[in-house]
Amino acid sequence: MLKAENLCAGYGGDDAIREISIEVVEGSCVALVGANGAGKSTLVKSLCGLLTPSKGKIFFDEKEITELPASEIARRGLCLCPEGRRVFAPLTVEENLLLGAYPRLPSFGPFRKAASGELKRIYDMFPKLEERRSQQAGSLSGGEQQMLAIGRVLMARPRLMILDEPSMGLAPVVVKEVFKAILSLRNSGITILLSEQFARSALAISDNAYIIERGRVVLEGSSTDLAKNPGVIEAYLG
Amino acid sequence: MLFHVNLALREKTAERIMRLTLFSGLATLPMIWHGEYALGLLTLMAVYGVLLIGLDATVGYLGQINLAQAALFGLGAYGTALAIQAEVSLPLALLVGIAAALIPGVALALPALRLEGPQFALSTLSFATLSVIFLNESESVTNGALGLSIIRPSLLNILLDSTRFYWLCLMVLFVAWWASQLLLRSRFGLAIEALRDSPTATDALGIGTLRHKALAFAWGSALAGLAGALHALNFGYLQPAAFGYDLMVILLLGTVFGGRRNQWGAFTGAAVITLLPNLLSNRTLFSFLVTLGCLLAIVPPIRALFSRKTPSFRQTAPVAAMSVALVLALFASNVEEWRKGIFALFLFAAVVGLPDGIAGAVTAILRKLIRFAPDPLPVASGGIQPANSSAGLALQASKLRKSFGGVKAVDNVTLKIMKGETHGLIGPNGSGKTTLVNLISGLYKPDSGSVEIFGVRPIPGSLMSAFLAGSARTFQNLQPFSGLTALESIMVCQREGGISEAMGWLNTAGLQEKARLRCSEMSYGDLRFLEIARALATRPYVLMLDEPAAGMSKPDIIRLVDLVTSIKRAGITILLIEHHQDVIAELCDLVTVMDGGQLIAQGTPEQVRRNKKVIEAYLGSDETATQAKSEMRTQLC
Amino acid sequence: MNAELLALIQMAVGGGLMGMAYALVAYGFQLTYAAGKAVNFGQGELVMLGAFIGLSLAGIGLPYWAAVPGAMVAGAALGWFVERAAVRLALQQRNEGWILLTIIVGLFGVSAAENIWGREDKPFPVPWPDGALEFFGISVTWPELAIAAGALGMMALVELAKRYTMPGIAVQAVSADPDSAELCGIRSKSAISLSWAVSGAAAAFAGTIIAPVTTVGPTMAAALTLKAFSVAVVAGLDSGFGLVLAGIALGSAENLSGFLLGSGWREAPGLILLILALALRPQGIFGKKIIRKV
Repeated sequence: MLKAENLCAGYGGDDAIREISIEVVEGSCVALVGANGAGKSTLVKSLCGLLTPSKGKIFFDEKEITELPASEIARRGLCLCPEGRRVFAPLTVEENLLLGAYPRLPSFGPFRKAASGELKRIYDMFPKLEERRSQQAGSLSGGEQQMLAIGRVLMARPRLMILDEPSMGLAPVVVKEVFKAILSLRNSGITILLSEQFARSALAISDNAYIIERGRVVLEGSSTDLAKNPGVIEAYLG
Repeated sequence: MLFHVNLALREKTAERIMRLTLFSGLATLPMIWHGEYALGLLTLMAVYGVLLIGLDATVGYLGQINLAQAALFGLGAYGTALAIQAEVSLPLALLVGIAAALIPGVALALPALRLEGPQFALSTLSFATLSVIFLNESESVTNGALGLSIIRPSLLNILLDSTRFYWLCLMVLFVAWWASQLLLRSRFGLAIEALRDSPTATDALGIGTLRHKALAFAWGSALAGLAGALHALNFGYLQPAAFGYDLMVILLLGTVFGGRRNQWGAFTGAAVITLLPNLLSNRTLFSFLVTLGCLLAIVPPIRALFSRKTPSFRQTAPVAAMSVALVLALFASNVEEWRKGIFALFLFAAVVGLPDGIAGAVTAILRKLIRFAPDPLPVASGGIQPANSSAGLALQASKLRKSFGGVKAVDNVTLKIMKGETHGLIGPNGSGKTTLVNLISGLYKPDSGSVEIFGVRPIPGSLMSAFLAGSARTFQNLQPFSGLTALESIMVCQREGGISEAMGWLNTAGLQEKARLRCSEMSYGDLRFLEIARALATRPYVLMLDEPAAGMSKPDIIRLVDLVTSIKRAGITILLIEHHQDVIAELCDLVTVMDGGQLIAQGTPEQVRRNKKVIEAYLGSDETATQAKSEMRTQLC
Repeated sequence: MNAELLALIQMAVGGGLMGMAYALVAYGFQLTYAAGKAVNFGQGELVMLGAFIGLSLAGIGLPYWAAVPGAMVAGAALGWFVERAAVRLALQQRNEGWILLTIIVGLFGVSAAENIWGREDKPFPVPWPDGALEFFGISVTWPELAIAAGALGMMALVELAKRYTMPGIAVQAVSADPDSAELCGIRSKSAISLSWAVSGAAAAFAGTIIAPVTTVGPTMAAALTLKAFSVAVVAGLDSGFGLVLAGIALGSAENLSGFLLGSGWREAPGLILLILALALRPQGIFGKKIIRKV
């Protein structure tokens, strides 16, 4: 469903990722695992069009999307839940959610109604958000903002959802909540690409995984095999 | 380029020869090109030259749009004119002119220079408008809109006829040019370039932002006043309206067209704006020049098409602007009526298509054609010296808190570091390490809590104050001074010592071969080393390194470990944020671990490594996921 | 009441009503600043061009009610053009060139107006009745009332659109976080263009409501950019209706200083206010303190 071939990308000067090839099959959950600064975020940003790769090609549904702007890629159903949550702080929780469905909603008139079914589903999933629907998103706690960021992506009815560091900067209790949410998404049939520094947790919930170190894929395979591989832990603790 | 010439000269010497040739040519020109009209033009050009060299200090070197230069020019002109009416001697009248621009200029600079970009442009624009209103309305002194007439007095009993006055102006231009070059190539000038690239870094390294900005603006104002004084003597008749917005636009045209950050550019610009109004009256010549401009503008997009690329906006927009100018040149019934419009089109084409102006473009071509002899490298001396090795606390952070909206980035953190210690700060992404360093180094103001560096409590939220207490830092996202060379980057940070000490610091960081390379041309890894060398050059007591090894290759990391080890041996206290565990294990005496904005563990690298909480914070626990899984299952049942 | 005081109040009220027009232009700055962190230094020229286009449309026989929207459409197109030609590239390169470029485009506008419509001031016809209304001895003319009503109406309309239409919310999202907005499928470039078009339309509309009071000429709006900036600076670029108060205050202060100090000093209070406001709030006019990320 998503395929990247020999991808190189970076921010001016040296490439942060070099010759990375990955593949995500429809209906699966794939994890990108690696320490901080290994290049996971760079990879994910180039997949979504926030960063134009310096080399390599990206295909989504067999069509090339390498040069497309992020908004076009999102409209095709490849949606990123960005690192650091990046909710629209001055807008309300509900407005944030509505924006997730922006391409589908009518510009004028009863757009809230058009989205009411989806909104209800998100609120059922994250009841906290419903309590705070008219509160500014910036005033939410870190965990709530992460729920909102996931909810916002779900509003877009993604076919493939990329989660970049969903546990970043969150307290352990909240991390558990987040993983629970990811599991339930998985069970609902959404294809997921999960970029995560918590190797064990990520390997526990994914089917396949790529271990990334210093901008390259160093190991790949089924998550259960990788979880037993001592090389994975080594990649972290040096 | 297909060919190039090797020249045994250094670039600086070549430039000096060209400048002397230019000035001798200009000085002898009145012998060949006779007539009052020609002399008038040449004098005006010299006056504008001084004015534009001054404008370049702010628009070029500071990189801020300054819209007050025309008004300062007017204030200088009025100052001199009024002084001459009061029958003051000529040299004194010139000084009065300078002061008349310098004093209000500094008064404007002190509040305005704390602003950036549009805000700065706005405050200078309001100042300019106010000045013109002031000149217009103070009728009892300035004679208001009716204007002020003066007669040029003699200079020390020498009668100043047109030719002699022209030579005087030329001399002033020469001195202004030379002094500006001297000033802007000194440490002061380097500081100005540095703060344009990264004001955060100049503050953190104690270079001082406001002071340098204010000095640059003052220098520009003084030159505006001097040019104004000459202008008053040249024309002998002044009107407030002449120093308004229209003149300002013309001056900007000169600066942008000629080329910024370059005295040659200012001179070229002065020549252009002196000749342009005269060009408009000669239609054939004007049409010819516009056609030429059009043809030049069309080259880049055609080259792009030949290499099968879509021409960019930067390439096509000048063509569009010049085409409109061509249409006006060919079809407008009266070209002079369209003066402003044509200026606007030229300016537009220049700003978009020639960002470095004519002088910049010519310099770039010359540099490709001619190989100059390289400047010799200085001999290195100095390096890391042992710091004072008394015992006690080097750094203490007490109960620091900082939140962004609802997110607690740093939550009640207390940290103590002893003198001479190398302290590691680790934790997963987003755990608040960089925010903590930002609080300690004064980039952020904490919501509560305090910081103490070597017994001093710096002002919260002031980088400069934390620097003065003895700290220096590097940045996770590099903050290079892109316009400076590696050597210059060090020199601008030095508190003491000269070029050979600067070379010594480069040696320490292993960058001696890259001394003459511009930061914009250096690799990522080298820039990381340069940041450390820069911080060392300020001779800090406490050095904070924010992820120095990020993005480095293996051999570079080994070099880095060696460098930090030698810093450590000299007794400098180090706070090191790092992800590479091997680096931490090798360098650190103590390690503090952060997670979710809080400290979760502290100990030797070995202790921390075995701490269960730390492992969980880094890897997540199996339990988190399995628990989540099982909870899901019970919910489904 | 004594006659002199009454005259002063009369001045203040007249100026305050005119000040609403400053508020409307300042509102245009708010829109573009929020969306793309840039403002049009040639906004005054857009006001002038809007008035001229309205005049020409009325001149070819269109009724007032069609000429004004026509001018607004033209203003929107001009606003869009300024963003596309002068702002987009420079902002991508993160330099201050856009300030120069917007000044330049404005300058070309003045030159074009001088050559197309001539340098003389012209009256702007309106369908309002002649004469004035009296409230407690203060007289208010119909064109002045139209300025107040028009400015408030236009601002209210755009504010409602920002809150209750999807494109409006999307523009706010782009101003909060452009990358994140892109990830939601919002084309952030279009959103920024949209806000410049609306800002241009507001400027042109301001032109058509000021013109009946000031007459139309190439220099009618020369000082307007600065005045509107003062209003925006004092009110803060993120406070919606603070603008109206600041506008009224500035308009009144102008009329009073013109009366008390001489007509040449009319512009002075706005400019002094602007410098003071900038000096006292260095974090900027444009509202909140920016957090430097490193």
